[in-house]
Amino acid sequence: MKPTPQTSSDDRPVIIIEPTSGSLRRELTELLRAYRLFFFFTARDIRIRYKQTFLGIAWALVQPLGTVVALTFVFSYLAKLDTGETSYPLFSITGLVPWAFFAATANRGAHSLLSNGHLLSRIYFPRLILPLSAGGAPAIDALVALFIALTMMLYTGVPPGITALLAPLFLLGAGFIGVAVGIVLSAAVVKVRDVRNVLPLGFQLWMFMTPVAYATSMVPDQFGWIMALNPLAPVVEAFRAALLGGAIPWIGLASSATFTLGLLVVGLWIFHRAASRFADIW
Amino acid sequence: MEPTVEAIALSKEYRIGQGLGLWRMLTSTGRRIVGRASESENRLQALNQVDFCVHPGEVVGLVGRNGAGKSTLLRVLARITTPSSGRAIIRGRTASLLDVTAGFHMDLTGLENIYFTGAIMGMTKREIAAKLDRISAMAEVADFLTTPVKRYSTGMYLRLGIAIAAHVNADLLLFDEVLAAADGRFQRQCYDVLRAAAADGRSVIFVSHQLDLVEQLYPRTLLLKKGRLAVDGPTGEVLARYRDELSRDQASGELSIESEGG
Repeated sequence: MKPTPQTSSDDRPVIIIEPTSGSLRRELTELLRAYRLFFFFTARDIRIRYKQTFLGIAWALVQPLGTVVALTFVFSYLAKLDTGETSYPLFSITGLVPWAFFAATANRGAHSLLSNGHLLSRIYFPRLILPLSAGGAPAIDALVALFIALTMMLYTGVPPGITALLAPLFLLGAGFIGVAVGIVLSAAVVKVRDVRNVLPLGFQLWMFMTPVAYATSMVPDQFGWIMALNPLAPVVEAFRAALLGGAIPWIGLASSATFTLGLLVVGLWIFHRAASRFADIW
Repeated sequence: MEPTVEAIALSKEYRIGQGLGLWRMLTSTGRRIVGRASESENRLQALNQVDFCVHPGEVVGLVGRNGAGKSTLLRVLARITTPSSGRAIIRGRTASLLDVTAGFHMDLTGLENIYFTGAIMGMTKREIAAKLDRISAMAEVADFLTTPVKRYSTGMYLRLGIAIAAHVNADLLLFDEVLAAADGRFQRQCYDVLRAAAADGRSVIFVSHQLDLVEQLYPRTLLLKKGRLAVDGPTGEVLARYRDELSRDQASGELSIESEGG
């Protein structure tokens, strides 16, 4: 096919509508041009969540605190898990913050196309905005949770060291993995709805395979490979180490980053291939 | 100037009644084995080799019975779905107003919805802010901007959607039967906006079942029939032929119920 000019003779942008999805590069260019939508979607998500609620944004405090109380009761009080000098509530919240950011981003990303089906079938906009902006509202929650963790540290007399400055970076990494997973899952969910039914179980298992409620050092050697395969494990460990002190697993982080980049590339490709059909099958 | 829209042998085929499912997969494989499968029965040609052009400043009506492919054509031009074959070339920004309230969220206020819907239709925050007064005045919701739209009356809700859509700065506006539920005064207001858009050199494609409305508004009309472009010409002639067909169908007592192609 002969190449088509990007603008017409009178400077209007030219859009060619064809049976194929077009190039991934064009889609990414359009995504960049529509970056503002990211903020609009995020703002909408946050507004909707707390509309007509009595506590409003204060709900962002309840979720992490409640989970820490439950984890502490089960793992520390009942199961007597030993976390050394670190108190269990501190230990668990420093695992929970990056995990919750990842899980919420990935989960919302996975459902983002289905839950916005009415938009997909009526308005064109770069579809990638949906799984990408799924991370916006969880990012706010993650910042609130980080604030809780720091408050707990100061309150219990464990002031954060200089490495704590790295913590936001690792937190961002957790969200980044969540976005990559969300992109892949969102396309999969539209195509094969069964995936949606597997997700709750999948995320639950993933959490237990991630050192949120326990430390990697407690895992017996024969199960070490599970930790090695889980791209989130080093990120959670690194976040905790950055706040509470300890060795930051740089090698694990490097392999995690490589994996995530690979997943992102594959995810973008799958998503792009499927995007033009979303409106027909959602 | 080159046309805003150029459709070349545009076709869209849907598979109907099918879906992915273990049970369905097994039974259809079984049927294929015993040789009773009929692929063609499961296909619907929603658009069939449609060719036309729309030039800058042209307002074109799109008519046809239910299932003729009007909505499908708009959906393809709006890039919501891809064609099965053929191509379309669009020069300029498109505002797809297939459902002007699609971006609305019930729990958000009128103001919040203006910003979100405006953004998703391609406006910047600054653009929306500049047009805010005109949008709320046209929709007559200026006093209700901080009220969630779920408390709006049906009329207010729709007017707000149309008012936002009318202020989108695009070279091509695609409307799908949005005025059917609006009252006479507001309809006239919308015509004025559309005429102004056309005078500005923008193109409008408008689907409607209200034939007298089409007659007043559009010099040119396309008639779709079972996915094919049956006639493309001056509105008077096209509508005369369409009315003729409708009454003939009625006379023969043929009340075939067709599903909207989409």
